[in-house]
Amino acid sequence: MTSPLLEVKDLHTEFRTKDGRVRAVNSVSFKLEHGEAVGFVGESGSGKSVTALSILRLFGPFTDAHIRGQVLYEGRDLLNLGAKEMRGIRGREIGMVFQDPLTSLNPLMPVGQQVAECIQLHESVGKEVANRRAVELLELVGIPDPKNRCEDLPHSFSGGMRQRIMIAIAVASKPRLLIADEPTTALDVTVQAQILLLLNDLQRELGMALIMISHDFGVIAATCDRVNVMYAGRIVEHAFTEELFRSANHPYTEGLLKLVPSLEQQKGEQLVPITGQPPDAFELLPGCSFAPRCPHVAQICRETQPQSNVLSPSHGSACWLSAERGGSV
Amino acid sequence: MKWFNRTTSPVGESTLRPGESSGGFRMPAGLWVVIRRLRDGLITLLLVVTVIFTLAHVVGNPALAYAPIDASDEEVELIARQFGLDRPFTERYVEYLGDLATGDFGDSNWQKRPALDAVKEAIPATIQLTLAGIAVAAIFGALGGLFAGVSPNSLFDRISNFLSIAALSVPNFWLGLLLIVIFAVDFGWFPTSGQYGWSSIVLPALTLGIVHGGRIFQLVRSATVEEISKPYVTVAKSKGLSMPAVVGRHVIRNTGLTMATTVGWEYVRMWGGAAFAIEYVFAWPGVGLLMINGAHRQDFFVLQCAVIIAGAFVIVSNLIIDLFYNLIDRRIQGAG
Amino acid sequence: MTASTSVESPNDVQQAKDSMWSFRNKLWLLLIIPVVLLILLALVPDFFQNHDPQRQNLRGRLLPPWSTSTEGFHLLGTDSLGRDLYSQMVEGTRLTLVIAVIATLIGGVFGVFVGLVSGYFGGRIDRFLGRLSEAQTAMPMFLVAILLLSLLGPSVTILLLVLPTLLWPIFARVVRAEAMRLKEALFIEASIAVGCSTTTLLRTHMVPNIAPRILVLAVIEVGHVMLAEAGLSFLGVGVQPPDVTWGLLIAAGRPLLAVSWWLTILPGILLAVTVLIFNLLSRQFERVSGTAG
Repeated sequence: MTSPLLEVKDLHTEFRTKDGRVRAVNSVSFKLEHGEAVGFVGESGSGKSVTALSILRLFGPFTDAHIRGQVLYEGRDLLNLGAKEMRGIRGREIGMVFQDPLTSLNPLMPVGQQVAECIQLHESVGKEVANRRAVELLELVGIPDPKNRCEDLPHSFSGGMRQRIMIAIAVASKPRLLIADEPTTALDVTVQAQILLLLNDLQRELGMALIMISHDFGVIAATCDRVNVMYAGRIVEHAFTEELFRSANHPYTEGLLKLVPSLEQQKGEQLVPITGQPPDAFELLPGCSFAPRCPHVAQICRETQPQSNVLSPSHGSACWLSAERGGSV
Repeated sequence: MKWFNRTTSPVGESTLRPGESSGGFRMPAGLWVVIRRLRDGLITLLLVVTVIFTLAHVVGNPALAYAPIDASDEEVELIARQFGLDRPFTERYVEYLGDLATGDFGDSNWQKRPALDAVKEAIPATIQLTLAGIAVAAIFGALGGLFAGVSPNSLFDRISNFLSIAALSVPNFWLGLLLIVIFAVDFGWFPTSGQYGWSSIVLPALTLGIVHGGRIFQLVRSATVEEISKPYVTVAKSKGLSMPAVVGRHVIRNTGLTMATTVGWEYVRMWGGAAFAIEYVFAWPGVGLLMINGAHRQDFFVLQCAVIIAGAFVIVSNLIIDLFYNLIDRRIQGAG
Repeated sequence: MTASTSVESPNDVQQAKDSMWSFRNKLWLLLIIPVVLLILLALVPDFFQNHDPQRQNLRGRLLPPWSTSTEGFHLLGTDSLGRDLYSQMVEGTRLTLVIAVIATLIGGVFGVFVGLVSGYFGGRIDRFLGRLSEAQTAMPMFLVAILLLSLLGPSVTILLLVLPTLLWPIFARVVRAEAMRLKEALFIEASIAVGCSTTTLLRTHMVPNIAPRILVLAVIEVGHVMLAEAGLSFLGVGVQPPDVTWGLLIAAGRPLLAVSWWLTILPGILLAVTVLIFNLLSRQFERVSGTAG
């Protein structure tokens, strides 16, 4: 039994701002095996993206981020690495695809160069070799006529094409792990499917593990073997994808799944929204964060933070009522 | 209609290439901009000249410009009639414009030669000074602003930011005097004034460089800060690039235009008066010194010539920078 | 009442508006103190002076700071006629501030008016005024000012006419941009409101919204005008003796720079510090009022 590719233990990420401290990621732990695809799903503000950024320590110059815990990539704690070693990880071992391809690419640099840059950085190859590889990569991700188009600037491509370029950049150095942060959110529905297909293909071909972050269950279902449901900075439920859809346990997951319109719904049947708002990031409640919105809330929920109950070797749910409920959708 | 005249293909798509119009005369879009700017520039120059003329001939008494300082009232009147200064306004105005066009800016009473000659002689010195000044300003301002912008709120940033605000709060002529006191009088490293050899340009250039550098710093820093907040910078870091590499390869590409035009604008500003004041402080024999001395001696023609020449320079330079900016901008947007 | 913060994009976290009474802001409030002091110096100079600024003492000429003459203690030294520099600087405060403030007011009011009309009515008026303002900005106004002052004779009145021309375009540009922005929001409001007249609309809606930005700009421009006036006076085409401004004091001390540096340097420090304070204050207003400059 080989050790997991990535093991995150008790990750906490806190931002210190003028208005106070924000705990964006609270005690998050999970494992990822080689070649596996794991999804993170939740509303905006649930901490999904911050988790990904914490792994790669990619916060901007204005953000005062404090990350605690352990992020073990192949046994090495990424949080302990020096800047230079971290740069060796980024791009080379772990690649990342970002949400909005329009602003994620340098508007003034030809796309071929943006891809080649990644190659040149991590492998000592000459410019011509890097450029050739860049063209190959562009072809791999499905850009038509890559040889001519690698001189073009990002704005001359459509949104879907730009995201493909982003993916090309992320996989340029054949990383072992690819993190995709809402890669299809900014795209049309038809294009979404193509991109997801591309990600799946690449994952298989290159043997990469995948972390897929999305608020869309459909995306998760299409790409992931396992799912982590996040709410208010915590993982509230985790299971194999099918397991989750079949027998979701946590009330939040249930609520989310009810929101996904399905073909089996009767005409006229209403979608039931989850009442209330996600919690204010500055005020942390003593009990379960979902308590104010939970239809099954009990007194203990408001008082104490629930631990994750093990429902099966692969299925865990952080709810006081999980044992009684069993759960089904 | 013949098929090659149609601007849409049978399927409805436009057959025109970008930049083409469907009218008969094909004119690159850029050229119109150039022509319009040139026209505006000329109008402004005309405005300057007209304002000067009007004020000189209507509000002041132009005859005084021709007369020696100690002339009596009758002598002044005589001179007025002699130079035809009692003719109607429009006639004089047209003649004035004609004179300017042929390079006749009048004769300086003080220098006893055509004003244009005096000004022409002084131009090289001013060019030397302003170029040296802008070089210093660019280093302090553009480089400093860039470094400060990529590490916001760091110690370097806070200190240099404050210094730059201080730099642009300071009266430039006073700064020059301060530098003279410290470095020329007390330390004796540099001459206190005049244009003698290499060391004499140091203090005046430094004075200009500090004040204008402060302004450049502010603009470059804020542009840089804005740039590094953009998502593509995070993406570049995610590739594994180190911060200096990110800056060098990506950020500069995007802020470079802003930096260049900011430096350009400040250079023009120098010609708008700042360099002249410094010339006066350091007795640097440029157009500015000439102009101020002319003002003290009530020498209208030298004054007028200097203002018009400097004004023309400012207007033309503004034009060039504007067009340059538009050109590069167009290339950026239009490419691909 | 805290605002809900989305932390999906951590880069935004920093850009929040400063809360009104945080410690840093209280620190900046200290800047107001020097301004008040300056105003007091301008209003009641006699109270602060320990000598008559005009009183000459030929036996106590060119004394360095912190020296005593037969007339008394000279905090900042004396000039070539034995006059106390400190008292002269206090004396000069009034005229310096008055010119700067009035010139800014004139230029500001004119600029704001042009900007409002231009931005609100748009169309041909806007284009014409825009051309006018552009043309003026393209001119080296400072040089034209020198020419004008030397032609018409330097005086405070002429200065007060010339200085505003240097700054009205800036006000006009900022106000125009704001007006255009608000116009979009206001037309909707106006159509809901019951028959509001244009002037009332402008007065009660636009101006209060634009006011913070105008204030921020005005504070900075007062500093700029001070520097411009000092420059013109220094060059000899601004304020003339026996009037006193800081710029003139700097000029007066210049011939004796090598022997009595304090005559030129100290008034300059006062001027520089004042302008710096105005600059910093303006930035502070900016941050507190939540507008970008």
